[in-house]
Amino acid sequence: MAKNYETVMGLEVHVELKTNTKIFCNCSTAFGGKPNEHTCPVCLGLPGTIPVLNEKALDRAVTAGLATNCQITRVGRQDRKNYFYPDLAKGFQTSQGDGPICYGGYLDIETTEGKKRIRINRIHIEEDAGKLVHEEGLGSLVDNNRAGVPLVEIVSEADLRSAEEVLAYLHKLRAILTYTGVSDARMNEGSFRCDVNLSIRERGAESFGTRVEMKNLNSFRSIQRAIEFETARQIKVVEEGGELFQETRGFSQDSGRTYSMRTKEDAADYRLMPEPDLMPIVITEEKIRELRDSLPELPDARKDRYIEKYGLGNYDAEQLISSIELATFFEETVKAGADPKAAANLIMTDLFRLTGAEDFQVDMAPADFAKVIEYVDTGRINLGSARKVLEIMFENPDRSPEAIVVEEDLEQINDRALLSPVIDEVLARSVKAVREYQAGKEKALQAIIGQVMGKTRGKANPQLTIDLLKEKIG
Amino acid sequence: MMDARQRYLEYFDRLERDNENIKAYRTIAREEALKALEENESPFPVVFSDQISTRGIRTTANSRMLENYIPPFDATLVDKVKKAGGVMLGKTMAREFGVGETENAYGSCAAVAHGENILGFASDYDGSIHMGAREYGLFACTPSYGSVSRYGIIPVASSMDRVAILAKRFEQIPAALDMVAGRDERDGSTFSCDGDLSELEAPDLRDVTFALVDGLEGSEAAEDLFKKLGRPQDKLRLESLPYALPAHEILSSGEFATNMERYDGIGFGYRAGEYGNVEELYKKSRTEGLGREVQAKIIFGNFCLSEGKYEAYYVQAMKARTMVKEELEKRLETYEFLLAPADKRLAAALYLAGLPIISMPFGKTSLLIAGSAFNDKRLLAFGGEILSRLEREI
Ligand SMILES: [Zn+2]
Repeated sequence: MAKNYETVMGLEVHVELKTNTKIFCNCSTAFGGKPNEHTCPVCLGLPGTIPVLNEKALDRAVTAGLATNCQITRVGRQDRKNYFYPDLAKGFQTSQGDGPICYGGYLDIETTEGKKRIRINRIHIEEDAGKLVHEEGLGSLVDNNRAGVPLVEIVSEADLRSAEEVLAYLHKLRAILTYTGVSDARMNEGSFRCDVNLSIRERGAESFGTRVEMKNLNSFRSIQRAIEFETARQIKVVEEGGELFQETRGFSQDSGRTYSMRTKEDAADYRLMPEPDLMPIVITEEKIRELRDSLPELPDARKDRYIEKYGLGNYDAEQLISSIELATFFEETVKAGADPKAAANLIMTDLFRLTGAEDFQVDMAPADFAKVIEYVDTGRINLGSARKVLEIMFENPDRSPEAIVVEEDLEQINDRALLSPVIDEVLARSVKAVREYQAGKEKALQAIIGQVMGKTRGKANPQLTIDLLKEKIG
Repeated sequence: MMDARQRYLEYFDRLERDNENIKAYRTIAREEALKALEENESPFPVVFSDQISTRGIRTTANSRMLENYIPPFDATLVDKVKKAGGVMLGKTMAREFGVGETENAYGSCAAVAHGENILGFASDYDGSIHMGAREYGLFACTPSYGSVSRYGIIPVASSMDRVAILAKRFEQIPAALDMVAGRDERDGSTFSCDGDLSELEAPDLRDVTFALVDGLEGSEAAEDLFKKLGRPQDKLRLESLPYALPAHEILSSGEFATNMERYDGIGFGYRAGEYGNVEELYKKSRTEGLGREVQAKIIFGNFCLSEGKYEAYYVQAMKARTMVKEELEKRLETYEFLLAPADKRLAAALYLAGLPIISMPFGKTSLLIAGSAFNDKRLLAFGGEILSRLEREI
């Protein structure tokens, strides 16, 4: 009989800090640009150039630590991590070894299992590398626009046990980082990247299994799939009496499988050493106080407020606070007069369908959104039409709900006298369905309602339709 | 009266004849110098060692690796010297990347010695420039670590690299230091020094405490000079001195190894002609582009930094460095200045500690004086006074 396994995971999240200039020079951090447009002698690593730490980047890193309940070091150190790679101009990455900026923090997550605290081991600053571009006929080219973009690496303890927990952790972390302005944390632009360290062990075991590091996970979906695949793979290896190796594995979106990238034997010796060109990082009490005082309301506080003030459920509130754009949109909608629960529902059903819950981005005005909720509430349109209105507003945020309802002819039919003949017509053509319904098959009624909706182009008041139907055939 | 242009032209003619013998220059910058001459009201001749970046002028670090490297920027100190009226005669020879084989390790000294009032700027990581200065009968000064920007100096060991000023006459040095010292936003290790160094107040030697460092190679000759000052002869030994060279060697090699990682044949520098894959490109480019001694120092540095060796070598060396530094600082609390012969071990110790040094030639020997960090101005004033006293005596 198969044993009962649990998955043990720790995450390394690389986050691009929101600064105008790079970590060691004055080049722009703007995303995109012509290849090597944002470079200078320093980030190109020309001989004799010297890095100088961007204080803004340091502030952002300290803020990230404060927002995740970390201790902040008073004296930090930067180290050189040496390895050869064509996208690494200096032949080393400036990072932090033993003296990270922040350490010993945590954040709380909410899953279907309830609340859980995930510990954060450390947060350290480092520089991003350049990028290799493979061009037909030209070979491989190096674009150093990303070289020297400031990053923090946020390392969690191995406290995560399921893909659901991992995603909840990532969402919470991303929320915290965007709320505090530490980062834009956009996965699609690479400003929020996650490596997963995963091992399995028998449930209840004390020791850890052999750890595999998974890289190149560029969406939440990929992370989830990779975790599921890798867990199953490891269990299978163990069950079949095989041996797991400590290795780095990639994930292929096409096949949905993880594949070995390198084993421990090929791992580079990074020869970490104190970066002699950079002075020790000194962080004063005053600086910490100043940054602590300027922290905005954090996601958890906001979530509590939604629960208390608006009477939202725990899960819904957690969803709404997952990004600052989303939470702001929700609050503006409520401020415009919408019922909080109705607003939350409509956001999480229809808006999430349009924009995706992960990268919430809508251009429509919250006040217009509130109008749609009001129309539904007053019966001017039904929920089906509300969806249509929102789809149109999503594409054309300038069109007002009023205009859309009128111009697209979406007003709900609430008039018995208008609806009754339509229903009669449908019933006359649905003899079979009527018989089935009368024989006790509830489902048949849905089919009839569907036909009524079709006939009225979705405008029929659903409740009225049901009432009338029941009167006529029930 | 011969005009400046004529004098420079004649000097360049002489230089081009002599360079083969004196082996001073890697690159003679005749055209650029004549142009700079026209743009300056009070020009003066200078040379930079070939490890100091000069915009538009080949800067090879005396290596095949950078044979064709033309920096797009001036080192901060070059910029400052140019703005003060410095006319660069050329780039002088030194060891390959500061550590390797060369035709002349002291090209800067040779260049300064060849002319009459040429100022020399050379980068140095171990104090050996003071041995060169002794050989060529020159005055040399390495200001405190952090008083002159390193931006644009191709590094050997970033935590030790300093620029040394070379001159035939001592009085050229304070003005030269004045020219290049100061805080540079592009080098976080620099500090601003206040006060005009060119206006030095000669101290009364009776008010200054100083001692001779004993037990070094050449201490007797230094003691003879010391005696001429007619002072009670305070002598001291530095207990940590035996650790100075090994610590210096380990730490500088570690820093050197990582500073050299950028020369991989990808971004810039020498690239091997044929290679099968990127791994081979690295290996061939570095093997062909760098000399044996440079390679040896890189290998030794990487050994000291590698897993399992780091604690045993690098960390120990860092501890030894702290020990050396603390002893020197402690001694410099008792005595304002330490006098010594130009000794390799002491020089290494002073470079580990980043303390300011001047050295003065007296015949075949030379006297080295060190002070505490950022006491450069007093050190120069004191040096000037010692010099005038000894010149009167000799
Ligand atoms: Zn740059």
